[in-house]
Order: sequence, then C-alpha cells, then structure tokens
Amino acid sequence: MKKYIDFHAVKDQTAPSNIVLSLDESDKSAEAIRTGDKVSRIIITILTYIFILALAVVIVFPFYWMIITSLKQNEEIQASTQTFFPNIVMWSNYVHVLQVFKFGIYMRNTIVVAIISTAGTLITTILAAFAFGKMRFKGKEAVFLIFLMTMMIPGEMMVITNYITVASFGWIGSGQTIYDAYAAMIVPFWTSVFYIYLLRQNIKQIPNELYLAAKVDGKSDWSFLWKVIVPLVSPTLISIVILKFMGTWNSYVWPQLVTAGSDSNFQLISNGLRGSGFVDPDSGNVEYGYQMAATVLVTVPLFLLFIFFRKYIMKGVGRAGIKG
Amino acid sequence: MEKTENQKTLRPPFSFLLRDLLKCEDKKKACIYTILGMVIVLLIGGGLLSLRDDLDRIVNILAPLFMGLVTITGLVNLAVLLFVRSKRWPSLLMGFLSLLSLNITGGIYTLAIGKSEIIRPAYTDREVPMDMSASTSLFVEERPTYQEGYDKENNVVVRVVSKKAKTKPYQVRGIEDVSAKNNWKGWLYLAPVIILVSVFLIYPLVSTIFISFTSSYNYQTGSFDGLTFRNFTFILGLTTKSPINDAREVFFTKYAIPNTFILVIVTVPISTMLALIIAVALNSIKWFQKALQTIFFLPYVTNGIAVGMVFSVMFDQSGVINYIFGTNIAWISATAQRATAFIPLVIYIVWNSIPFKILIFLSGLQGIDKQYYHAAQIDSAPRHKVLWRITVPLLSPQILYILITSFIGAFKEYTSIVGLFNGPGTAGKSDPNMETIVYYIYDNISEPSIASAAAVFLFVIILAFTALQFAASKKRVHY
Repeated sequence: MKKYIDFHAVKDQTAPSNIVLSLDESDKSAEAIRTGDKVSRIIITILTYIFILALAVVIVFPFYWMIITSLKQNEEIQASTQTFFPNIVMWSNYVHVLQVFKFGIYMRNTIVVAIISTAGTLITTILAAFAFGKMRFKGKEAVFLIFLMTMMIPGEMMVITNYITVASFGWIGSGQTIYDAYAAMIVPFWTSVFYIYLLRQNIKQIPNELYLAAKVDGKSDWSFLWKVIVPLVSPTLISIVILKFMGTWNSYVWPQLVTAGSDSNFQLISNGLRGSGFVDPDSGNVEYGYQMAATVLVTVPLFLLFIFFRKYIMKGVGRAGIKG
Repeated sequence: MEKTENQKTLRPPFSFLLRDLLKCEDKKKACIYTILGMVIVLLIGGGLLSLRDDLDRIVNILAPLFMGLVTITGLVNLAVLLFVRSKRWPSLLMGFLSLLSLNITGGIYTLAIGKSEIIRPAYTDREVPMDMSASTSLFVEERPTYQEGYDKENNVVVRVVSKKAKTKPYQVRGIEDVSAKNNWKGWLYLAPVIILVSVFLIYPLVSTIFISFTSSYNYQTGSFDGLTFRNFTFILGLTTKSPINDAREVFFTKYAIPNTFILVIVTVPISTMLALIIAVALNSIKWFQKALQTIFFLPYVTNGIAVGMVFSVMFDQSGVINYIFGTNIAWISATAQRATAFIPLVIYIVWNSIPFKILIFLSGLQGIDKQYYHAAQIDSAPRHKVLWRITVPLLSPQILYILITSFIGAFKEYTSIVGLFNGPGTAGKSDPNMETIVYYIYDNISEPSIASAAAVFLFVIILAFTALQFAASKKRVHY
C-alpha cells in the first residue's frame, strides 16, 4: 500500500502523527532486499562475463583456426565435415613451406627496411621535435602549422607522385637492384609528421629550467638534446620504434608498387605472403594447409613482439592512435 | 580603468581570420560566405565540366586560369594567415578574393583545428597530459578595451589618446635568451625533415592535383598533352578514352564509389557500437580484466593480409563458417554474389578495427570520475540510464575522435580486400565487384592522370566528410 504526502504543504501545519512511510518492498525484510540485490548483481556479472567471453572466443577464433588449419592435411581441410582439431598433426606443412616460401629472404628484407627506416625516422623526428619543442627561432610556428596541415591529407594523394619521384631517382623499373628497392621502400618513410607532433608534445613538457641550467653550464643545444632530452622521452621513442616496426611488417601497398615487375626476392613479407599462391600444380586448388602455415609464420613474430612489449604497444597505440 | 588582465580566449586560429577577411563578426555569416564560395567554385567547375565534349579548347584555356586563381588566392590567404595575424585586415577585396579559395583552404583549416582538438581525447592517459596551452598559436590574445570617461573604481579620468593597438602586449619575460631569438640553428635541426616533407608530402600534394588535370601524363618522361577536365569526367563515367581498351571508366561509378560508401556506412556504426559495448562491459568486470583486454587487443597486432587470408579460408565454401551454420553459401569464391561477398568483408573489417576503438574507449572510461556513478547509485538509477546519461556523454570526446578516424579509415579500405579476395573482387579483374576507391587508384597507377583524378576525388570526399562531421558533432560533444 502506498501513501503520498506533499511535505511542502504539510510543513507549516502541525504534521499528522500517523504518517507511515512505506516502500515498494516494505513487505520484505532488509536482509531479503540485500540478498535480492546481491543475486541480481551476481546474475548481471555472470551475464557480462558470458557476453565478454563469447565475444573473446569470436575474436580469438580466426587465430585458432589459422593454427589448426596449418596443421591439417589438405583432404581434411576440404572435407565436408570440419574438424576442430587435426586428425593427423602435419608438422611437415611447415617444413614444406619453409622450403617453398622464401621466408628467410622476405624476413631479411622486412627487417632491413624496418631497421633503416625506423632509425631514419627516429633521427629526423628527434631533431625536428626538439626544434619545435624547445628552440626559439622565427617562423617556427608557421612551419609547424604547415606540418600539422599535412596530417589531414590522405596518403593516397602522395602515392602517385611519390611513385613518379622514386622512378625519376631510378629506384624502380628495369635494372632494379636490391639496394634500389630498399631505397624506394625506405626513404619516403624517413619522416612522419605525426611522430614529430607526438614527440614535440612530450618534449614541451620538460621544464625549461633544465634547458636554461644546461645553457648556464655551457652545454650546447646538441649535447643537451642527446644527454638530457632523449633519455627523458625514451618511453615515447620506444613506442615510436615499435609502431614503426609494426607498420613496416604490415605494409603492403607501397612495397607492392615499387617491387612489382622485378625480382620477387625484393619483396617484403606481406607481399611475399599474398604473392605465393600455394596452388597444387595437379588440381589447381589452393593448398590451404601450406598457406595457413605461411600465415602463421608471418603472424608469430608480431605476436612475440606484442608479448614482450605489450605495455609500450598498448600505450603507444592509445597515445598515437594510428597504425604504422 | 583598463582591464589589466588580457582575456585569453580559446579561439581556433583561423576563425578570426575568416571573419576579419569577410568583415563580419558573426561566425554564422562567415560560414554562409564559405558555403557561398564553395557553391560558386562548384558552379564554375560544373559549368566547365558540362562543356566537356565540344568546347575542350575553352576548357584547356580556362582550366589553368581557374587553377591559377585558386592557387593565388590560396597563397594570399595563407600569407595573411601567417604574417598579419593580430592586425585587422580591412580590405573587402581580400575577403572577396579569398571566397574562391575558402573551399580548399577553409577545409584544410577546419581540419587542422579539428585535428588539434580531436587528438586530445587520446591523451586521457593521466601520465602524459597533453600540453595544449603550450602551442601558443592556438591562443589569440584580445586587446584590452578602454572606455573614455571617469573610472570610479580607480578614481581617474580616462582619455583615449590613440586607438592603435600596441604592437606587443607588455610582458615580463624574466631572463631573455637573446641569442636564441633568431636562431639559425633551429633551421639546421629542421632541415632533414623539411627536405623530406617537402619532397614526399607537400610536393606530391600539389603535383597530384596538377596531374589530375593533365591529359595522359607519362610518368617516365613527365610529359603530357595539355590540361583537361577529362580525367574527372572519365572516372565519373561521362566520357570514354579515345582508344577504348577496356571498360574501366564504368568501374569507378559502378563499383568503387558505391562499395566504398557501403563499407563506410555499414562498418563504422557497427564497429563503434560493438567496441563501446565491449569497453563498458570490460570496464565493469573485476577478474581477468587485463587478460581479456589483451585478448581484445590481439587483432590489432596482426598482419592485415595474413588474417584476410585466414578469413578467406574460414569463409570458403567448404569452410568452417558454412559448416557451423549448416549452410552452403559461396561467400568469396568466383560464383559468389556481390551482396553475400560483403558479409565476410564487413565481418573482417569490424573484427580488425574494434581493438583500437576498445582501447581508446577503455582509457576514456577509466578517466571518468567515479563520483558520477556513486551519485547514480544513490539515486538508484537504472543501468541503461547510467549508460546513456553518464557514460556516453562523458565519453563523447573519445566517440567523436573514434568516429572521425574510423570514417577516414573506412574510406581507405584496401588491404582487407586484397587479403580476403586476392584481387578486386570475387570475379577477378574483368569485373572488380568489390573494388573501392583506393583500390581503383592503385589499380590504375600506370596511368597517373586517372589515378590522380581518383585520388583528388577521394581527398575532397574525406575533407568534406570530416569537416561536416566535425561541424555536426561540435555541439554534441559535452564539456
């Protein structure tokens, strides 16, 4: 039973002494209400866990399927009844793939390109971010604004002209050597406006007193940069290195463009993976077992990187908000 | 008497410029002028396009003129922006001239402003708060106003002698590093980046726009047969190229544009909603939170091509998806329907794009003050109300950031298609039914004129979309 009383109206008068405040659940004891709350909370928690775990299974399933398929025989993959664990574990798929798929060469190319382009990016980024963040000179803000504006331009706008530019340097086309291919894949990516922006924000937070103290002590800008600034911003630098490495590992379009038409030994890992068909010469069908084994080989290094640098990657991605 | 403290206002650097150029203080009017300028340019461009067949000569003469005008006004605008910052620019003529360039530069400015504000949410990470106030260019100092007459407060009579602005507001700077004022060393530090950026970023932008107006540009010799609008009419399917070697002009309007828009419209809302729900759920649980968070991040650290191939195995006609659901649908093989082929593609794109969104949302959720939830608990607010009235509004900066980045990302879908279909679609190159705009660009890279036209088309779409979205959601973002 419910009673509603307007307390504003009652205020000035003498309140009736027989008011009973009743609640919806007045028939229950406090203990019962508490247990009811508890039960509903537990149910909601369980439902949340079920929901999350179900989605987690969906997220993980492609990885599971990739590994499982890479260990199956081709007949089993094509069979009408799919198995969720291979009947015969075919480690030989990997042996075959390592013989056919030029994993070592692609790996070497990718690592060379990743290291050199990351090193170049780091150097240019540190120098520019220091100039933008700590030095004072005329026109700094203007240049920085122009840099910021270039971030809005989609990369597809650049690809065409960069292709032409790189061709005019003689880095692609007939007679391409492996060094040409490396140069074409590395040099255009020696700078990243976004990383400059990221690092500049970081450097700006370093108190100016440190800079002035270094000046009083007669340190040059150059040694201040490398002795003080770089160690202080090293977490950001590590994030940049890892993101850049992941970017190179995943890059497909540009390497595909600049190595198309020449030796497949110049390609990076993604291009090699997509390019190698693993087609059975007799039937013309794709041999998915081999293909998935190659996919596992390409995926595992990134996973290892992720396991070791999880903190930096997740922080860096959250901060940078970009891939590669 | 005088207001001693200069009121710092949080105005983006360009809004005042546009207003001053147009001689109007009203922001709305400035917007209307901008739109008017856009309409004028579009009308001129459209008019020229309509002359495509018979009057190509006129187009040839007008196109460089038109481009030159736009470029010059753009440069003047840029010069005004960079060097006449604090002074009022009186000329109406300037405003009128800049109308033409507003549609280009204005778009870029809006984006520049937008970006500088949008990026902020990613920094909710408490450890590294972003120092927005540090970039002084984002702040415009307002001149103090002086009123003639008797000032009661300070007991003085004020007489305005000059209304000229002081060139510099008086400042106590402490120790001044005079040697650093005009430091050529700064340019030395910037030199490598400036060279690389101008060669690989700024020059290509100008050059690509230029190439999109050239007729049959040869990328080896750099020669071309005059300027034309035909590339744009070609990709839009209005004209055919004289040697008709294939039907590529149809593909852009038949497949590339619709496919791109379908992917944008379908994947962005789905992945954002899903990511939001997962993030809220992840935030509410106690046990295994870190482990589950890591699991949901896994798709981010994968090679797009590799996982695309895994999906193509799963969606094979004799693959596991058909097996689980007991169907026998050709999802991606040569016999697949275009509509069914979208399903694996959308699932793959969503799967691939939610980790980043969950990460951003989670960091946003963890930054929300728990007091709001305690207050809601005291009021015994139901859960869905807590979600819609507290969580979503407080998360709106992150949602805006995610929406803009994912819209731009979805417009540039490419790797997923290569990974999944190993080509532009289910039926191979002759009928590229899953092609997107970016795919079209890369597919036609051997014909730079056409690829450039498609790239400029994409650029304009992305600019417009982002500006629109930013303008629309400016009011929606709370605090």
